[in-house]
Amino acid sequence: MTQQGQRATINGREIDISEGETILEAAAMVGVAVPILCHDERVTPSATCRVCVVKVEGRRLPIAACAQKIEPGMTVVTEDDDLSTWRKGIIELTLSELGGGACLSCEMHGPCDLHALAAEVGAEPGALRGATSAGPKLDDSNPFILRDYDQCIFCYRCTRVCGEHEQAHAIGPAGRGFASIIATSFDGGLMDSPCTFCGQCIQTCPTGALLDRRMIELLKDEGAIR
Amino acid sequence: MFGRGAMSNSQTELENAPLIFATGTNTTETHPVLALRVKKAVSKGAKLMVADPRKIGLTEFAHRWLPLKIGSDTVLYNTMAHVIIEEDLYDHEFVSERTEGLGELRKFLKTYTPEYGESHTGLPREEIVAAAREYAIAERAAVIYTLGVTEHVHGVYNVQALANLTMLTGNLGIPSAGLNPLRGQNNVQGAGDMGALPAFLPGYQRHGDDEARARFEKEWGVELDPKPGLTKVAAVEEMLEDRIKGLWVMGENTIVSEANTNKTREALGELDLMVVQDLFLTETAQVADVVLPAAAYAEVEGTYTNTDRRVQRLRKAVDAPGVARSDWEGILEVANRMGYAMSYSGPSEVWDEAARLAPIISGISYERIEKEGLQWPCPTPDHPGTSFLHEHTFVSGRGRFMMTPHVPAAEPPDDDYPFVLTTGRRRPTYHTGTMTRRDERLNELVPEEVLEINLEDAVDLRLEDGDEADVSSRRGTLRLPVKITDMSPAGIAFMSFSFPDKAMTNVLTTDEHDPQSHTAQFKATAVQIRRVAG
Amino acid sequence: MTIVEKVRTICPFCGTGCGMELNVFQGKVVGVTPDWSSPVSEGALCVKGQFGTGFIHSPDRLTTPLVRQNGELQEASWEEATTLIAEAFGKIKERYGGAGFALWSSSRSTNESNFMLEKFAHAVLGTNNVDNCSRT
Repeated sequence: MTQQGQRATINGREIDISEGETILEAAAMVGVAVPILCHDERVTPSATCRVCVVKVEGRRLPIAACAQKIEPGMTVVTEDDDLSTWRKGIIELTLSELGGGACLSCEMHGPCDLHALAAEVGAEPGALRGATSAGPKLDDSNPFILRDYDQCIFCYRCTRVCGEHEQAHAIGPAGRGFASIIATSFDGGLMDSPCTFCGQCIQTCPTGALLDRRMIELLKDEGAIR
Repeated sequence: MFGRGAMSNSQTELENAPLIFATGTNTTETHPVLALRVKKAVSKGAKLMVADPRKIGLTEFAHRWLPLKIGSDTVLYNTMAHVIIEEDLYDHEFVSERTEGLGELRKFLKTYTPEYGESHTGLPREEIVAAAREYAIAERAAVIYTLGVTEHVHGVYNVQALANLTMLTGNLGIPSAGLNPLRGQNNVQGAGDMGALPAFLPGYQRHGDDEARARFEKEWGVELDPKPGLTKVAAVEEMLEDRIKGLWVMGENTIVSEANTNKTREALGELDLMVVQDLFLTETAQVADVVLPAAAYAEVEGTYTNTDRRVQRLRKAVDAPGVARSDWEGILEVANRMGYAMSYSGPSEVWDEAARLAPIISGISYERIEKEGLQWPCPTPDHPGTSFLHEHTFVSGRGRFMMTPHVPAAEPPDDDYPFVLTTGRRRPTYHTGTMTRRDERLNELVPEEVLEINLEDAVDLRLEDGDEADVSSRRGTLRLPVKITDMSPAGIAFMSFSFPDKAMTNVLTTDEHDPQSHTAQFKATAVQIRRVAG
Repeated sequence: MTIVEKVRTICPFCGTGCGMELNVFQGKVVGVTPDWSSPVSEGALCVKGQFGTGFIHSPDRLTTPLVRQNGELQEASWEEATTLIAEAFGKIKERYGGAGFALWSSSRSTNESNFMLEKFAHAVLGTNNVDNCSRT
């Protein structure tokens, strides 16, 4: 609900704001698109990827626009050279953590969210080198969902959609740091979990980490993908 | 009653309802994506009241679960209405301005005291009273229901008793409220809208309405019969009496889906000519004289109308196999051969003719729904469509309170058939299984039909999970594995009817039906269950 | 360059009416992606909508009309099948009038096909005995 006199400034432009709105939402209302990666508007922001960082006057550090509520009188900058550099760095770091292999999502559907964003901010794959967070491949024999940890960026979109939207609570993070993976409660297969196979994890995944297993098999059989 | 065979409100409105009363709907299984709205409403603080004999998925999200006895629905709703009237919790303004018959209803409901309600439903009287109060005082409350309400011999009374509740509490004509039958099939709403119901011409116009009938007669150049036609149930009787000799079945698997399979089969055997259009050689197509190969949804252009009256565009993605054709093209060819010349440039021209004839959809064209569907009523090209009905008035003027007596189930359990079989759906399989049974992956989730029974009954019957049992009714016997579940209470068994190759569930069910709607009592068949020796 | 072509359509299973995109490769449906612009489903699908496309290209699909001859269903052309229907229905109409027919329409098929069956019943066969599977 827009309240009388509730205004803030985004990129030098004064705008009306609503109670409870995030910076990301307020910006979108006036046509300012802030880049996002770990965000799915249907679920609670996790602010893990930091791609949506913006500058807020009076704050020393950049702030994640997806999670920060906009406040009356706030002055926000969503685009400048610093932000561009930071976003590029964040994406290059994210890319550096991926394991090897092609992004099948990009091959099948066109650029995935991650690779589209990388192109947008000019992030170079291989610009940074370091440990990869890819864990062991879980042997999950379900016929529907293929999880490729090499492509997983730990944005938790799948776990949040599973828990908050479908409310199946079939998957969640397990382990810590670079050893962490997305798994079922006791590391069992999805067929033995509360998974309803709604596929919403595949749908929300911003990379090629979650895919339709049969689609991959059909396209491999046809030689369309490797 | 007040209205139309459709949801009064829209599924998108559900997530803002402060209270949802879900009765006779296993929504998480039957409408998984619509159920997301219900879950979301609960996350946002809504109260969810579930009335269902089985411990269905929705009960996990409910703040109040009313596990009533099967077939006692009318008594529950009547008792709630009794409490609302007697405790003066009804919406005086709405009732006086928009309804008629309260005095009569009050008198009729006198006997539906909480004590009476308890004795019939098996629910503690305090629970019924609390449910009534919650429903009445909620700022807005949406009732959602499906076949658990209608598939009884008193299905119409159930719906009318729910309508009484919505009218008493003024839960009509406002968003996030209403009386909402969640339509089961992708285009069951549209089939009705297009007149595929014996009582209606397209757009819910009566055959007896001279002005409407004249419009069709002019457009189609023929004289129409002003009397309504026969329902399926009535038509089956006519076939058995040798009075209906020709049948056209478009894409439905009647033998599997109708109650009392053997009777349906016998009736179809009496026909001179039976035509079936389908994707597959279904159990029904197998007994036809002519089978016409149909194109599937991915192979045709057209429209479907969803549960919230939203007409949406269907688009062709791939070619149909062989010489399969859209259903309408097959019909067209026969019409032409019978001397009734028709030609259409494509489905949009067919739609335009329907829109010309049916005022509720007159404002909808393919062009307008290219990006996003439109909800009827949408009478003119500049009308934005309608999210919720009955805003200022009911179609019939004032909403009439109906007297809805408790009618006991036909064929109650007895010593010979002591269990009640109730039929319904499981998420990964669909209806008669024609489509889902041909998907290898869905088959892995639910590989076969099982008889779901309670642990208590399993112990009594000396059955373990996976053991074979014979389940018999007065009409037939099936042998299938049992699955022990806490979803069914003791005394109630559950089956779907999606596995006709292994278990023709409706061999068991009774074709006793509601005298008004002709919907059979699929939700309650008396059965015997026996362990298979060995 | 993308491998699959996407066709925006509506899920064929329940009455919710979720928006979906069929993913097509060389004339076959190989997968499904949600239609994020659908006001109904807003990008969600369930197991049937997301994964249940296997039946479309099932080897069991009927590819040609079938006509019963000597008790068995035999392959026939559209012309043969529809001529046979027209003749047999013509005879029934002569003898029993419109009351001799029933037509059971499909809650699975399109509005246009339902409308056509309704018109065929009323205008050609002369009967109002049209019903659909809304009671099951």
